[in-house]
Amino acid sequence: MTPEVTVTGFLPWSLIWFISYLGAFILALLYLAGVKNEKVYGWGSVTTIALSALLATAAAKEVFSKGPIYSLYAKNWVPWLNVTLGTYLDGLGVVMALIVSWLSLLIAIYSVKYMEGDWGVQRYFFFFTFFVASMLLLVTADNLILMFIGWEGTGLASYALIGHWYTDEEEYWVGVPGRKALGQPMYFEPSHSGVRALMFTRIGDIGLLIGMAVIFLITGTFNIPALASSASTWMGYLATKGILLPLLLIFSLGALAKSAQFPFHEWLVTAMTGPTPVSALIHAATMVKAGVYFMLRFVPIFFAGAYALMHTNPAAVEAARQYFTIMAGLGAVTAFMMGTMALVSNELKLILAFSTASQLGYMFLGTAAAGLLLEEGYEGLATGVAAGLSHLMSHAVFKAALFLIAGWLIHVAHSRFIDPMGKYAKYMKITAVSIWLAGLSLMGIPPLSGFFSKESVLHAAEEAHLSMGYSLGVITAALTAAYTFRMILRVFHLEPYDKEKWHEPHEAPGLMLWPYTILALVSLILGLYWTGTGKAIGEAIGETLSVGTPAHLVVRLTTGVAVVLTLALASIGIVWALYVPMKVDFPRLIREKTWARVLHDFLYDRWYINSIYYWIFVSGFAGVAYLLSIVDFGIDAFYHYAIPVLFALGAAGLRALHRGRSNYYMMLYIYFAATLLLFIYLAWG
Amino acid sequence: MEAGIPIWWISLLLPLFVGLYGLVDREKGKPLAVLSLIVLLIPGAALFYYWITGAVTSAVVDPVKIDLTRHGIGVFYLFVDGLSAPIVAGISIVTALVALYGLKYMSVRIEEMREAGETPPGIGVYYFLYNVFALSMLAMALSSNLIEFYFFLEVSLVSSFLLIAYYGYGDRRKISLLYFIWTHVAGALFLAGTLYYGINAGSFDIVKITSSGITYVSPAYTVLAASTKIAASLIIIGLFIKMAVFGVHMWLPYAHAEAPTPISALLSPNLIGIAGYALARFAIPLFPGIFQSLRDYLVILALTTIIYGGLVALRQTDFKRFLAYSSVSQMGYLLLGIATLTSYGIGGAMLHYLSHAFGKAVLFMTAGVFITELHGLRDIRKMGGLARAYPLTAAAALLGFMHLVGMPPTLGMWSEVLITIGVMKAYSTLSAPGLVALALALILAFGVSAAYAFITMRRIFYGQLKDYLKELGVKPGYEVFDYFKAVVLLVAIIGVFYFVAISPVMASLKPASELVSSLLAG
Amino acid sequence: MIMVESLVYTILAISIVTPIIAMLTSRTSKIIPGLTWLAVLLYAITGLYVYTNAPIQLYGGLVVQDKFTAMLILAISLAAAIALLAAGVEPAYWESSPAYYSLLPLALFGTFYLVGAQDALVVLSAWLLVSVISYVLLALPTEKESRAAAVQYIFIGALATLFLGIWVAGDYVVSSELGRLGFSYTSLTPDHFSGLVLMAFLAAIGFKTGIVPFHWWLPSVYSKGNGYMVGVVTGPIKIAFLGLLTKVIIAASASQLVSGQIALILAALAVLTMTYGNVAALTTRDFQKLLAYSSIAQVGYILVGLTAIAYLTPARSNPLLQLALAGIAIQATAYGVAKSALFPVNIEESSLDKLRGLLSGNKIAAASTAILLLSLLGMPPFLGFWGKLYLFYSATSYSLILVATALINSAISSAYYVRALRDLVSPGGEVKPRPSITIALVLAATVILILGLIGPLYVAALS
Repeated sequence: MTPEVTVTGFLPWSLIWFISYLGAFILALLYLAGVKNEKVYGWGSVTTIALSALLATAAAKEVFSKGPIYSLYAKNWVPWLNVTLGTYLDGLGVVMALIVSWLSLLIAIYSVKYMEGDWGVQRYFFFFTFFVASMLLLVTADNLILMFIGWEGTGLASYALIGHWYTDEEEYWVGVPGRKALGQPMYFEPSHSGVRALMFTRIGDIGLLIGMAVIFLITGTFNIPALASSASTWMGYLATKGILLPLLLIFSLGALAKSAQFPFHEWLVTAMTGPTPVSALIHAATMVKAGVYFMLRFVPIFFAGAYALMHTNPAAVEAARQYFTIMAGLGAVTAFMMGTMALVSNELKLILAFSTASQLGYMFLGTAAAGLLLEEGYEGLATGVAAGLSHLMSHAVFKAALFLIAGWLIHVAHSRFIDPMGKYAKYMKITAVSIWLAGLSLMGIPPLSGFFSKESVLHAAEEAHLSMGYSLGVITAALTAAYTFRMILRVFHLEPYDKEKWHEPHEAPGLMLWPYTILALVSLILGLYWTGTGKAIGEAIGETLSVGTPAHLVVRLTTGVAVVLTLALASIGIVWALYVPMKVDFPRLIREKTWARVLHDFLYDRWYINSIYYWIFVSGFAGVAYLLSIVDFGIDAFYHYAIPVLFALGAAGLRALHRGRSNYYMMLYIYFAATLLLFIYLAWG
Repeated sequence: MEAGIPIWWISLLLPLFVGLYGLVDREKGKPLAVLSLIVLLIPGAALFYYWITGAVTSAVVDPVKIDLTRHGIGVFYLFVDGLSAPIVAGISIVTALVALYGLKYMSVRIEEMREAGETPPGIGVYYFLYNVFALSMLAMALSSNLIEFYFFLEVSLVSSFLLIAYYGYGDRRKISLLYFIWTHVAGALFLAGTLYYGINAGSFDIVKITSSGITYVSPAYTVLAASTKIAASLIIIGLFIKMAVFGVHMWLPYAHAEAPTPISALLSPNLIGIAGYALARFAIPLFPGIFQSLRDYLVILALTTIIYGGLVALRQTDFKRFLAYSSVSQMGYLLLGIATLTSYGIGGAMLHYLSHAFGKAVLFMTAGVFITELHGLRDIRKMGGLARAYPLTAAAALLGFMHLVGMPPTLGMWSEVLITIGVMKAYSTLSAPGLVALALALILAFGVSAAYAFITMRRIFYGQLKDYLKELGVKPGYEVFDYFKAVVLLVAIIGVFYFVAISPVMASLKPASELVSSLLAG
Repeated sequence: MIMVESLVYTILAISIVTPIIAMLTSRTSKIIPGLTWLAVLLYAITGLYVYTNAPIQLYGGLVVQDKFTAMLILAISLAAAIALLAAGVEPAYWESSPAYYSLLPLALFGTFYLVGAQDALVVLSAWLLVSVISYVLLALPTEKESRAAAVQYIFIGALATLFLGIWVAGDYVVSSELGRLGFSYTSLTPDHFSGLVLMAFLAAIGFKTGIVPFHWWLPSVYSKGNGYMVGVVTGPIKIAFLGLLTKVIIAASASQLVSGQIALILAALAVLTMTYGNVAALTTRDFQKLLAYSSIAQVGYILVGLTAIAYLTPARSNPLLQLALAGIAIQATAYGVAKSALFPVNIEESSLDKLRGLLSGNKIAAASTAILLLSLLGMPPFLGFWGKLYLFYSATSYSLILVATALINSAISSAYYVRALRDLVSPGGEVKPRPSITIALVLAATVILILGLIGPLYVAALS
């Protein structure tokens, strides 16, 4: 089933990720050597990433023409764990590498201008490059350990870049300063957001690690192709022991956390404290897709395992089905939940962040749904997985564009809120066109790429008979159209809410303008040429581990598609009607009407989930820590007060026996001699 | 393999000579610091060579041995195998670099004490005690015999006690005494159990060294008599006290917080971890049956220690005391790995020793940077925003924390991976609810570590510069990049280096760990 | 044989001629101390000679010197030398100075018979000789307190001698029945009479060596007596009594029937003695008192080794017996040497608060004190470590619990040893020790360190 694999040495293909690590390393050395010139770092970073991108492109050519490549370092890196230094490039890996490297390149160029004059620019580009390398390693690693290293590397870079402005000036916060929900603050400093991101993802990563450990113990390898070909064996073994489902879920915790799926979605929204290019790259286009990549990689493997066990081990099949259903359900819930939050947000990047999590939910839904198509065999699987991948790709492109545009808008508005923004279309023609292109793609309007990919996802859910997931997906499609349209409408066309703070904007400088314009256009081109794009992705999936069958990503105009499209257009219409002809004064409505306020606050405060987490985990653990510190005090008092006092009393008591009178001593002496005699008598009676 | 030259004896004697030179020349720190750096690096460098050549995979034995078999003791070898290699590397590298670090720190400290009207012994005495302390720890890791181990254990205790008593902070008279008593109690319990083994086995040798490598001398008893259990408990409790496991950790926060910082950087990761090593090297081969019956309790104790230490650390306001509790928590990881009784877990624990050695040394040295340069600043509440003023120190501290948390690209990841595999292997027969509970427990434990690490990173380094610091004149660019900070960063970077160059370490760790775990099979 | 006898009698002669020479020469003459030194040297030669020619039978077997006793004799001469060194020229200024210089050789003469005695009457004679010398020595210095201590010592000592008399009598009753010479205990049976005899011995020797509960006089006498004299009484003289104790226990437990019970009694006494000494010493701030209680505890450790001996003696071939004997020899040496150097430190001031930093003026003396205290605590690489190791090691064959108790006791003792060490070696303070005391400390520490480094060789030396 797996196509013929070309095996090469470590060079050249492992350079895809290695060269970026090298770049990051050199940047670090330059910093230590005292080089301060920021251009060196910016363009140094761009150069390395460009090299990676070119290599990825060359690799893609190879893979598409000749099939998968396995680039392997001759010696075992970690002999004990059988960990190799290898790069496995199949259809999925190479498409991911392409997306990651080229997007990174564009965003790096944008960053050169965006970060100009920033006091931490050297650190920024170091972590940026480090991130790109880690992400490329993640998607091309031949084994789980290497993937985990990339995985954690992206986490580290994400932590560092979210907290890039760790001095925590108010302009870099997320949320309205002073706002509280259920008594918990709803505003987050960059350094706080960094810790949040790290904690949320770290918790998931431990799950991933546990899963890896168990699978390794059964199979004796971390090698992904080897795990794929032995899937039925180890899955069958786990199913016989009755732990397949919990294990798969634990294994997938890392993916859920990384891709900000409910209940781990909270970290992503506050990650917006990072510089906007970082949000575009890491928290929209690439890193958060790591979880989706994980699903794209492992759903086929789990599928293959379950498929092989279809007739011999019903327990395994049942567990796999439950797993796919749960993952799809989580995706759908996330998509819906985050969509509702985006509706009321007034922070530009936050709207996009909600939207990102929501769209990630789609990808989970589609990919997990693919696994459920067991009866349809590999063809069904391929189509579902291809749907997930295609949405990943189109989302990466348009969301990166949107974020990059947002970066510029926030710059010109001197505010992260959309209230002081408005009528920007008049001043920024190209930007307006770009945001419309990208926005329409997000809304799922044909002929943009987002339309096709989203429909493919929904199609997969429908095929898998996930009625709840499908319904939520459809509702979310409408929500998506509404919030995206509202955002563009308010920023680019309507009068600003907060007129006093409005500044006259101007078009972005070329280095920033062109990256997002290109991305918006790409989004359009991919859509226009969907027959080609879809085919390419379908073929790529055909070259993917455990899939082996090309997918057919052709969207036909079915009733379903019509309904979704109509709903999207209708919601656009409603938003338009509310804002333009009816001129509803939303702030006043919220102030005056209780129902409106309750609903608004519920959504604005993110369903109060954040507050609940803080009560349970932050306050809860703080409480436990307080109790434990009392316990610690008790332990300390026992050892360092009670015991010494006891001994001191004993010492004083024993010394008090020696009162210094001879007759008294003689009495004691004779008394004890007699006692000893008595004892000996008793013993030797 | 027998080494061509008595390399391990040289590694022990040279620091002693340097130390004695310190007694002669009492006020000149610089040559002593440099000499200490060089001689303490020798075992690390030698080990690195043996790693590369693969000799450690069996064992590298010093040709000079002391045969006391006729005197009821056994043979004193000095040797390194895969199990002790991470320990030796950790001790060598950390003690060497901290020796250099201590030059500036201790000069300032002694000056400060003299200004306060005290009369601490000069820096020469410091380097004498320092070198004795370092070599005794090294010798413990090189020992093949229980009495040999105990011998150096007590030497390390006396030297570190004097270092605290002479140069410590706070109520150092009381704290040094407290440190001595508790760890001496630990040593006494260990010795009591050891004697029992000696009586039964006829000597105190733990391993038999042959040309093909080492084999464990199997205990003379197979049936677990009541007194065997008592002996095992004595050894285990003794090592637990030394290791500061939850419940008997009471002495550690005082000693490690109030010791002069270079000594904290040795005490915390190096010394207490040796007790963990001794569990794997001595206690398990002596009492495999006992360990098997105690496994679940030990795992629970380990997890408790991790979580307890981590959460109590979070409430500390003193940077060094925070680090001390963090060490308690980290010892939980060592115990967790060992308690699994699997080769992965045991190997992971040894590797964690090394990564903790790097990480915690870096963090204590970071604390020392602020103590030295910011007028004894230790209160975390007065810190904040230090990253802009001290970017390189902050980078080193971040790497230090990553070692503790187990994030790549630091060595900590490998130990985390191995320990996790070990735990899952030990509990490979769990049912679904058990698996979920275990996973949650692990997530909680690792999560707490990440929490205290990164929350503290934020408290110290991020945010706006606190007023207290502004008044001191701290501002961006305040950091001077001298050798003092270079060594801090260097230790952190060596941790990253070992992450990459893990091959030879793992190659030798595997057979050694498997040798230990094979004793448990029966 | 002749050689040994002539050596010992020369020592006796020195002690007899010293007062006469003192009458003829001036008070500060170097001849008198010189003669005493000669006696100590001769005694050391005696020890070496005995060691190389062991076993040596004297007086038809009434006195037997073997390798074990040879090592004790060497230890005694070492401790005596250190005590003599520490006192320096000071005794020369006492009105009774010739007494000091003549009694010291006489005491050495007595100890020779004490450690070698194989017969109860020999024990009695040597005992009386050595006891009276200790009384007189303690009463020699002019301070009132020291003399009061001596009087107390004599009072209770008389009582102890009474018990010794009971033992001698009982021993002769048994041996005349058997018609043989030497300790009668080789065929001891567990009956009431034997019990009385054993009790009498333990009570008597318990008084001399400070075994709880017969130790009552010890803390007051040791803490009030003159440091130099206490150094002699607790150093060379006590080593001899410990030798006697060991010999009698070996003889008594030869019988399979009683060895177990004797071991049990000794174990109980050991636990009592160690614990009492260690706990009582814990909080005192008086250095001399601390040393006094620590002396009790140290004897407790020796009792642990004796327990092993009692338990193992019926099985003669056991190599652990050698280890236990080595342990006792080492521990007695380490104890005697350290104590005879440490007690004189209290000559001027015995409060730890005042002694703090006392030695900072003299780094070498400080380091030496530290070594002696650490050796008493049982720290490697000092001699005390090997003593405790072998004592406890051999006792493990009897009971792990006893050994654990002993080790925990030893750990507890670190509280007062280390506190004293910390105070004495911490910087600050202005008083400097007298040069003679410094020299004694350095010599003692050097011996403890060197012997510590070759500690295990003791075992080989015994076999």
